[in-house]
Amino acid sequence: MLEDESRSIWRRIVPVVICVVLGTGLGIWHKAAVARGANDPVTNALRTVLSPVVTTSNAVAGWFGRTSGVLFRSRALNRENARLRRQVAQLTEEVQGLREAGIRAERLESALGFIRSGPSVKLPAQVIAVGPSQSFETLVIGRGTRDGVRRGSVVVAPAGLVGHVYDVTPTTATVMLASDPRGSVGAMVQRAESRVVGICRGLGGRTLRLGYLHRESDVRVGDVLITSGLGGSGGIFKKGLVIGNVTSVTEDPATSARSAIARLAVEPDRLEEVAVLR
Amino acid sequence: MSAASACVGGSALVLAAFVLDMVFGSRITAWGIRPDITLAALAPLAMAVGAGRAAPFGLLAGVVQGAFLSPALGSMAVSRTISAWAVGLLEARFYHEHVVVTAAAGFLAAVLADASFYAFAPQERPGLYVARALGRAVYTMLLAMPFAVVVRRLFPRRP
Repeated sequence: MLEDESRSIWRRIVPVVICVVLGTGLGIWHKAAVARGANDPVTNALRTVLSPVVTTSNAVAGWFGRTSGVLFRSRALNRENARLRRQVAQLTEEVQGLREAGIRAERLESALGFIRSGPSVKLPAQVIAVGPSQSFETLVIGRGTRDGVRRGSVVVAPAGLVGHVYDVTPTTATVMLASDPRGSVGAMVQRAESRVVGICRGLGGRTLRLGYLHRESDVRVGDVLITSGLGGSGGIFKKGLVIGNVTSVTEDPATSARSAIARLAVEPDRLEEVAVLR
Repeated sequence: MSAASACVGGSALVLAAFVLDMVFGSRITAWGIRPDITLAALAPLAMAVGAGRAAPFGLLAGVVQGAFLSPALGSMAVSRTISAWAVGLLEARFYHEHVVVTAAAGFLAAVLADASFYAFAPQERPGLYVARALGRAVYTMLLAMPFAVVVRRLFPRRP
């Protein structure tokens, strides 16, 4: 009787101990592999096998979503279409002006002897999945070492900066979002009269904090933050990528330092395609 | 059900739930709270198979989630293992085919997973983490109910 009970306890305890040891070992192995810029075979195998399944399921779900959306929202779509047409006309005009200003700036820079960095090559990539945890802000893209993606490569979307590649397998890569609490980006206020420079740290939930600013720093709600090219997580972000908009500015009474809270320009949950800068 | 077919059935359920999580998780995010569909499937599964057999399913769920969420593979694997094992311990104590018990198991699994995850990977803003974890646990609890129906068919109760 007593022997049966002790056997039953062992039957419950031993598997969990083995699994915890295996899980810990896998975690350590994975961290070590990522630090070397590679990935462990377990992660490689799981991502290689599951990525096509997730991609196909995503495509099917997306198609159903779009089709049902067209059926049920045709009037709303017509209104949205008209609004977007007006917006396109406005933006086209704005682009013409900016193009002209760009040409002028380029001419002045070359006259002053500035060294210009060449344009980055953009590699389009499909978003396979958005990270399932609330603690880490990551997404998985369908490009890997086979396409020339490396650890630290910068990932952007039309709306602005997405983040950087944290780890990479031959066919996929995990992107750590700029708003992840473990990341930081060298940032600058885009407004010509301000140009305040600082470091943006991720706060999670699509928000970032531009901290330790001088109390007289000219930062306002609504300001656009762009990458300063002056460092951050590995100093990998080139200058001029839109990070987000300032939503509030606070002052610490103890240190008199100001800090600004910004919202990431991109919406990770809605991203379908991104571009990897090489 | 033989041990081998239970292993295959349980693993298939965990992997299917993970794919659903990847596809629909971000689409059904509400008020910034994203449910954990994998845990919602894992909870009724753990209650049906018991602690000893639930731990490997928890490990599988954690490793798969961690492989896609790179920075914390180890913490994910261990937290899901502990969560599944702890919920599996309730197998003999509760009538696990009742929908309320299943829902409670889903809530408990999510809370345990987030608590043990925090122990292995402490977060910068604990208050926000706790608030989000509770919201997620409620959401996961609701999603555990349909999975309980699938688990009941996969693992019918012995007479």
